[in-house]
Amino acid sequence: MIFLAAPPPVPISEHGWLYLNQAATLGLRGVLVGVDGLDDPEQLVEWVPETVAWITWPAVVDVVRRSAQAYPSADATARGTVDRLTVAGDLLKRPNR
Amino acid sequence: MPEDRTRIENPSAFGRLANSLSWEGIDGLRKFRQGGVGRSDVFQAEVLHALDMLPRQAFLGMLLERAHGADAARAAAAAQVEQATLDLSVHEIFLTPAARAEPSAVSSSPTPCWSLPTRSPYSSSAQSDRGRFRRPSWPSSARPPCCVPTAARRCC
Repeated sequence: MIFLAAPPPVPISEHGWLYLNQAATLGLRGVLVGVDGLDDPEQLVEWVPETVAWITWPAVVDVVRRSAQAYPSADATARGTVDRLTVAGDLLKRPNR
Repeated sequence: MPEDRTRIENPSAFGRLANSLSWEGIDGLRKFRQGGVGRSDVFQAEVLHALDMLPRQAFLGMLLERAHGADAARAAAAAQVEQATLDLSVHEIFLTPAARAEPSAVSSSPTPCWSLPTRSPYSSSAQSDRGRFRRPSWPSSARPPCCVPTAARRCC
Protein backbone atom coordinates (compact mmCIF):
# COMPACT_ATOMS: atom_id res chain seq x y z
CA MET A 1 0.00 0.00 0.00
CA ILE A 2 1.37 3.35 -1.03
CA PHE A 3 0.80 6.44 1.06
CA LEU A 4 0.41 9.56 -1.09
CA ALA A 5 0.16 13.27 -0.41
CA ALA A 6 -2.70 13.55 -2.94
CA PRO A 7 -4.79 11.10 -5.01
CA PRO A 8 -3.31 9.73 -8.26
CA PRO A 9 -2.19 10.46 -10.88
CA VAL A 10 1.32 11.00 -9.53
CA PRO A 11 4.29 12.68 -11.20
CA ILE A 12 6.85 10.14 -12.44
CA SER A 13 10.23 11.37 -13.54
CA GLU A 14 10.46 11.69 -17.35
CA HIS A 15 6.99 10.13 -17.80
CA GLY A 16 4.59 12.84 -16.68
CA TRP A 17 1.50 12.11 -14.57
CA LEU A 18 0.58 8.44 -14.27
CA TYR A 19 -1.84 6.30 -12.30
CA LEU A 20 -0.17 3.92 -9.86
CA ASN A 21 -0.73 0.74 -11.82
CA GLN A 22 0.77 2.39 -14.91
CA ALA A 23 3.73 3.66 -12.89
CA ALA A 24 4.33 0.31 -11.16
CA THR A 25 4.13 -1.56 -14.46
CA LEU A 26 6.56 0.86 -16.04
CA GLY A 27 9.08 0.45 -13.21
CA LEU A 28 8.60 -3.31 -12.90
CA ARG A 29 9.24 -3.95 -16.57
CA GLY A 30 12.45 -1.95 -16.26
CA VAL A 31 13.59 -4.04 -13.29
CA LEU A 32 12.64 -7.39 -14.83
CA VAL A 33 14.78 -6.71 -17.87
CA GLY A 34 17.83 -7.28 -15.64
CA VAL A 35 16.55 -10.41 -13.86
CA ASP A 36 17.58 -13.84 -15.08
CA GLY A 37 15.65 -17.05 -14.50
CA LEU A 38 12.06 -15.83 -14.75
CA ASP A 39 9.77 -18.05 -16.80
CA ASP A 40 7.19 -15.39 -17.42
CA PRO A 41 8.01 -11.88 -16.21
CA GLU A 42 4.71 -10.64 -17.58
CA GLN A 43 2.94 -12.62 -14.82
CA LEU A 44 4.24 -10.15 -12.30
CA VAL A 45 3.08 -7.25 -14.44
CA GLU A 46 -0.39 -8.81 -14.63
CA TRP A 47 -0.55 -8.99 -10.83
CA VAL A 48 0.12 -5.29 -10.32
CA PRO A 49 -3.59 -4.34 -10.04
CA GLU A 50 -4.06 -7.10 -7.44
CA THR A 51 -1.16 -5.96 -5.30
CA VAL A 52 -0.92 -2.15 -5.44
CA ALA A 53 -3.18 -0.18 -3.12
CA TRP A 54 -3.03 3.45 -2.07
CA ILE A 55 -4.36 5.95 0.43
CA THR A 56 -3.62 9.63 0.97
CA TRP A 57 -2.15 11.00 4.18
CA PRO A 58 -5.12 13.37 4.64
CA ALA A 59 -7.38 10.30 4.42
CA VAL A 60 -5.28 8.59 7.09
CA VAL A 61 -5.73 11.60 9.38
CA ASP A 62 -9.45 11.61 8.68
CA VAL A 63 -9.78 7.89 9.44
CA VAL A 64 -7.85 8.28 12.69
CA ARG A 65 -9.90 11.27 13.79
CA ARG A 66 -13.26 9.66 12.95
CA SER A 67 -12.28 6.34 14.50
CA ALA A 68 -11.17 8.07 17.71
CA GLN A 69 -14.45 9.94 17.96
CA ALA A 70 -16.45 6.78 17.35
CA TYR A 71 -14.39 4.49 19.57
CA PRO A 72 -16.57 3.22 22.41
CA SER A 73 -14.80 3.29 25.75
CA ALA A 74 -16.29 4.32 29.07
CA ASP A 75 -13.00 3.64 30.83
CA ALA A 76 -11.09 6.89 31.34
CA THR A 77 -7.66 5.24 31.16
CA ALA A 78 -8.44 3.38 27.94
CA ARG A 79 -10.00 6.53 26.49
CA GLY A 80 -6.90 8.51 27.42
CA THR A 81 -4.66 5.92 25.76
CA VAL A 82 -6.61 6.15 22.52
CA ASP A 83 -6.59 9.95 22.66
CA ARG A 84 -2.82 10.13 23.25
CA LEU A 85 -2.01 7.67 20.49
CA THR A 86 -4.21 9.48 17.98
CA VAL A 87 -2.21 12.67 18.47
CA ALA A 88 0.23 11.19 15.95
CA GLY A 89 -2.53 11.32 13.35
CA ASP A 90 -2.81 15.08 13.78
CA LEU A 91 0.79 15.80 12.83
CA LEU A 92 -0.27 16.75 9.31
CA LYS A 93 -2.07 19.73 10.78
CA ARG A 94 1.17 21.29 11.98
CA PRO A 95 2.63 24.15 9.93
CA ASN A 96 5.29 23.18 7.38
CA ARG A 97 4.16 19.57 7.36
CA MET B 1 31.88 -12.32 5.19
CA PRO B 2 30.71 -8.81 4.29
CA GLU B 3 28.49 -6.96 6.73
CA ASP B 4 24.80 -7.11 5.81
CA ARG B 5 24.01 -3.40 6.00
CA THR B 6 20.35 -3.94 5.17
CA ARG B 7 19.69 -6.04 8.26
CA ILE B 8 17.79 -4.27 11.05
CA GLU B 9 18.24 -5.81 14.49
CA ASN B 10 15.56 -3.61 16.07
CA PRO B 11 12.37 -3.97 14.02
CA SER B 12 10.36 -1.39 15.98
CA ALA B 13 9.27 1.84 14.30
CA PHE B 14 12.07 3.66 16.10
CA GLY B 15 14.63 1.05 15.10
CA ARG B 16 13.52 1.34 11.49
CA LEU B 17 13.70 5.12 11.67
CA ALA B 18 17.17 5.00 13.23
CA ASN B 19 18.28 2.68 10.44
CA SER B 20 16.85 5.03 7.83
CA LEU B 21 18.66 8.00 9.39
CA SER B 22 21.91 6.04 9.43
CA TRP B 23 21.98 6.31 5.63
CA GLU B 24 21.72 10.11 5.61
CA GLY B 25 25.31 10.99 6.36
CA ILE B 26 26.46 13.95 8.46
CA ASP B 27 25.04 16.61 6.16
CA GLY B 28 21.74 14.77 5.79
CA LEU B 29 21.32 14.37 9.53
CA ARG B 30 21.40 18.15 10.00
CA LYS B 31 18.04 18.31 8.23
CA PHE B 32 16.48 16.51 11.18
CA ARG B 33 17.45 19.09 13.79
CA GLN B 34 13.90 20.38 14.21
CA GLY B 35 12.72 16.90 15.07
CA GLY B 36 12.23 15.79 11.52
CA VAL B 37 9.41 18.22 10.70
CA GLY B 38 8.52 17.81 7.03
CA ARG B 39 10.40 14.52 6.72
CA SER B 40 8.22 11.69 5.49
CA ASP B 41 10.29 8.95 7.13
CA VAL B 42 9.84 10.52 10.58
CA PHE B 43 6.18 11.16 9.92
CA GLN B 44 5.62 7.61 8.72
CA ALA B 45 7.27 6.15 11.80
CA GLU B 46 5.15 8.30 14.11
CA VAL B 47 1.85 7.54 12.40
CA LEU B 48 2.43 3.86 11.69
CA HIS B 49 3.69 3.28 15.24
CA ALA B 50 0.46 4.83 16.56
CA LEU B 51 -1.62 2.69 14.20
CA ASP B 52 0.24 -0.37 15.45
CA MET B 53 -0.68 0.40 19.06
CA LEU B 54 -4.26 1.63 18.59
CA PRO B 55 -7.22 -0.79 18.63
CA ARG B 56 -6.70 -2.59 15.35
CA GLN B 57 -10.21 -3.09 13.98
CA ALA B 58 -11.27 0.48 14.72
CA PHE B 59 -8.20 2.18 13.28
CA LEU B 60 -5.95 0.09 11.02
CA GLY B 61 -8.93 -1.94 9.84
CA MET B 62 -10.80 1.23 8.90
CA LEU B 63 -7.73 2.57 7.13
CA LEU B 64 -7.47 -0.58 5.02
CA GLU B 65 -11.15 -0.25 4.19
CA ARG B 66 -10.72 3.40 3.16
CA ALA B 67 -7.77 2.68 0.84
CA HIS B 68 -8.10 2.06 -2.90
CA GLY B 69 -6.95 -0.75 -5.21
CA ALA B 70 -5.99 -4.39 -4.58
CA ASP B 71 -9.42 -5.06 -3.11
CA ALA B 72 -8.91 -8.74 -2.30
CA ALA B 73 -5.53 -8.12 -0.69
CA ARG B 74 -6.89 -5.32 1.47
CA ALA B 75 -9.88 -7.43 2.50
CA ALA B 76 -7.56 -10.30 3.47
CA ALA B 77 -5.35 -7.93 5.48
CA ALA B 78 -8.36 -6.35 7.20
CA ALA B 79 -9.77 -9.78 8.09
CA GLN B 80 -6.66 -10.62 10.12
CA VAL B 81 -5.76 -7.15 11.28
CA GLU B 82 -5.91 -8.06 14.98
CA GLN B 83 -3.28 -10.78 14.55
CA ALA B 84 -1.11 -8.88 12.10
CA THR B 85 2.43 -7.80 12.92
CA LEU B 86 3.12 -4.29 11.75
CA ASP B 87 6.71 -4.55 10.63
CA LEU B 88 8.35 -1.36 9.45
CA SER B 89 11.71 -2.93 8.81
CA VAL B 90 13.09 -3.96 5.48
CA HIS B 91 12.82 -7.52 4.26
CA GLU B 92 14.18 -8.64 0.95
CA ILE B 93 11.66 -10.49 -1.17
CA PHE B 94 13.31 -12.63 -3.80
CA LEU B 95 11.63 -13.18 -7.13
CA THR B 96 13.96 -16.07 -7.79
CA PRO B 97 17.23 -17.20 -6.21
CA ALA B 98 18.98 -15.59 -9.18
CA ALA B 99 17.32 -12.25 -8.47
CA ARG B 100 19.06 -11.77 -5.11
CA ALA B 101 20.36 -8.23 -4.83
CA GLU B 102 24.01 -7.55 -4.08
CA PRO B 103 24.57 -5.25 -1.09
CA SER B 104 25.96 -2.55 -3.36
CA ALA B 105 22.62 -2.41 -5.16
CA VAL B 106 20.51 -1.93 -2.06
CA SER B 107 18.71 1.39 -1.93
CA SER B 108 20.08 3.94 0.50
CA SER B 109 16.50 4.80 1.35
CA PRO B 110 15.08 1.45 2.50
CA THR B 111 11.38 0.86 2.06
CA PRO B 112 9.34 0.13 5.17
CA CYS B 113 7.06 -2.87 4.89
CA TRP B 114 3.94 -4.07 6.53
CA SER B 115 4.13 -7.80 6.68
CA LEU B 116 1.42 -10.11 7.86
CA PRO B 117 2.29 -13.10 10.06
CA THR B 118 1.34 -15.61 7.39
CA ARG B 119 3.64 -16.67 4.59
CA SER B 120 4.29 -14.66 1.50
CA PRO B 121 3.07 -15.98 -1.85
CA TYR B 122 6.70 -15.79 -2.99
CA SER B 123 8.16 -17.71 -0.05
CA SER B 124 9.49 -21.21 0.60
CA SER B 125 8.34 -23.59 -2.14
CA ALA B 126 7.87 -20.77 -4.62
CA GLN B 127 11.47 -19.70 -4.09
CA SER B 128 12.90 -23.16 -4.33
CA ASP B 129 11.33 -23.60 -7.72
CA ARG B 130 13.62 -21.47 -9.81
CA GLY B 131 11.86 -19.22 -12.25
CA ARG B 132 8.35 -20.17 -11.19
CA PHE B 133 5.84 -18.12 -9.27
CA ARG B 134 2.68 -18.98 -7.48
CA ARG B 135 -0.18 -16.72 -8.37
CA PRO B 136 -1.24 -14.69 -5.31
CA SER B 137 -4.45 -15.94 -3.77
CA TRP B 138 -5.21 -13.30 -1.17
CA PRO B 139 -8.45 -14.63 0.32
CA SER B 140 -7.08 -18.15 0.86
CA SER B 141 -4.02 -19.49 2.65
CA ALA B 142 -1.33 -17.44 0.91
CA ARG B 143 -1.46 -13.82 1.98
CA PRO B 144 0.70 -10.99 0.75
CA PRO B 145 3.10 -8.73 2.51
CA CYS B 146 1.70 -5.20 2.33
CA CYS B 147 4.48 -2.86 1.38
CA VAL B 148 4.32 0.79 2.32
CA PRO B 149 6.87 2.59 0.19
CA THR B 150 7.62 6.24 0.72
CA ALA B 151 6.02 8.01 -2.21
CA ALA B 152 7.98 11.20 -1.78
CA ARG B 153 10.84 12.32 0.38
CA ARG B 154 8.73 15.15 1.70
CA CYS B 155 5.21 14.06 2.42
CA CYS B 156 3.48 17.45 2.17
